Amino acid sequence: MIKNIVTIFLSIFIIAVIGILGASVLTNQKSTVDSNTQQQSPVVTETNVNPTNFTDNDSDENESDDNDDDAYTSVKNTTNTTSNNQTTNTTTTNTSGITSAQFAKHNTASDCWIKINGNAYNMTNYLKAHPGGASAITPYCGKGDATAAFDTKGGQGSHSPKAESLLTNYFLGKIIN
Amino acid sequence: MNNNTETAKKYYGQTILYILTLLPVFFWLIQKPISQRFSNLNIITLSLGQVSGLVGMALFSLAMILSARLKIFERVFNGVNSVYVDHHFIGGIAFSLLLIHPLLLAYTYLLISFKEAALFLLPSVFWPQNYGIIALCIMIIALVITFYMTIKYQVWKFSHKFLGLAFVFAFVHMMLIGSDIALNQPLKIYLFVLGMLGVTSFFYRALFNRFFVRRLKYVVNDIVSLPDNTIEIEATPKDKALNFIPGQFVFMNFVSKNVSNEYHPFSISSASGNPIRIAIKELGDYTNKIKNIQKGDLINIEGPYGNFNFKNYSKKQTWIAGGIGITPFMSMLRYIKENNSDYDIDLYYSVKDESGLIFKDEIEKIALDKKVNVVLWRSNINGFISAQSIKDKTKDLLDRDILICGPLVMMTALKKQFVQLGVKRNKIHSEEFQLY
Repeated sequence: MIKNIVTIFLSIFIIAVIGILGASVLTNQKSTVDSNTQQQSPVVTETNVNPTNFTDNDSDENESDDNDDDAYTSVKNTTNTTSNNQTTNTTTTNTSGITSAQFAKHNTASDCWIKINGNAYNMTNYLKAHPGGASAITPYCGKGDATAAFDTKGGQGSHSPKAESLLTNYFLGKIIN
Repeated sequence: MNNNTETAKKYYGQTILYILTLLPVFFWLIQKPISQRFSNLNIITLSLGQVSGLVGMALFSLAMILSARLKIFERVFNGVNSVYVDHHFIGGIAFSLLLIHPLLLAYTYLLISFKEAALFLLPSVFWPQNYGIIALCIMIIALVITFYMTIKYQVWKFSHKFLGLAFVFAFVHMMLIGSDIALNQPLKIYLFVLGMLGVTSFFYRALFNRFFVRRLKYVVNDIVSLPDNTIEIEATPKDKALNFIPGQFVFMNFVSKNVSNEYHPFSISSASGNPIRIAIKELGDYTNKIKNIQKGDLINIEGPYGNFNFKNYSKKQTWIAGGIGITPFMSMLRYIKENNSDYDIDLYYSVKDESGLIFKDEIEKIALDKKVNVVLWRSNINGFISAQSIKDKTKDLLDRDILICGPLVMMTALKKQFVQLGVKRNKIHSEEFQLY
């Protein structure tokens, strides 16, 4: 009986892994061709901001305009790049900002948003690539404020300009309270 | 009274396993509101991925702990065999859950692109995750061998030990991965303790058993050839003799150039430990070689194990032996012969044909002296033994305790038939040592 269960799960596992790796190789070849024709390599890997919703809410929004202007422009920039690159949109946040509650949900290493200067960044895909280790970022997933940690490189100096520009790739939106 | 507690005890062990498995899920669930865990498909797969990892690791730890073959497990689980059945089942479920664990977590990445999902599943600079990948690879190889290959017991046992290595990697992965486990103190401590017990069990049983497990040394004194490819080995203790109850079994190995040295379970057929007698039938690779044992070879004996004790039950008993399943009953009969007993015993000894009656003369002699009523049942003449045919001969069957030892198919069939005839379940006792 247990052997059958194991067989089922093992089959699922093997099919899924081969499927994902195979599809990855295939789509990768395809996207190299695409990016050659488009002469633009994808910058933003993931965004939770839906451009159409964004403009909808823009008209409704009529409070604290001054403060939000900066955020808007940067968010709009991001969405522009996103649509150019035809990156698939997955989850959607339908407000002009990210609520603290929404932010707090992304608090694991496999789904990690962090807060820097009042903005939310999705670090999920970057965690593994972080030279200082994922564990430097994970404590801030979905909670607290990582501004000081980012600015001081966890108390060891400061991040390079390259790191700062890299960060913008993961921008999601402003966190509203 | 004793019978009832024994049936209850079996569930007691399994209940503990259920609780220990579900406890991490409980810690995880109270960590934050459930609505947050299951708000959309993305989060649901993430949550299920975490749960499969948590439960999988709890079960993996428990499977490791059960493999330590501690004597206390026998009392809680109603016998070593039952412990191994649970170990096998738990291990299989753990393996299934741990296979599905990375797939569920990969789903989030799949929504971004196939490439991201592929990168997630492959090794990277993120070591805590790499430990998990290594653990999974070792586990897949070792378990494919366990589940799908017919190999020699020795090779199987060696490959199975690699699961301990997989467990160590999985344990490190779990403690370093920095997900909900890192933030949840009770969960972290619980999984750490359970995991450490698992690692300790592995070291105790699989790696350093020769230092930790208490064993008695015996010297082969005589090898008696019996019919039906069976031999009975008589051995005398080197220092201390084994103390056991008739009907129990031991794990033992031979220190001999003719036989490999791994441990196997065998029923004791003598009444006492000095000298001890073990009857072995040629049934496989290993038992076929045992006839090459020589006088003077050393035996290491670990035990005794088993709850198959006729003294636990009422004075009126029916014993049913199938083939080599006579060995624990031989131990009991020889005990009865040497001690004055007031037990009223009906022994049904079922074999394929006349040649299978390995202890015929001795049994008939004991039957004459003591109050033992023996029925020799030859399947080629009488057909398979059935509960009805036993009831026809033993009129007061419902008042008796029934002890069965034989092939699994026979025991399962007879138990079912006895229950249909109105025998209470707690009156039926069987000795099982046959895995799947």
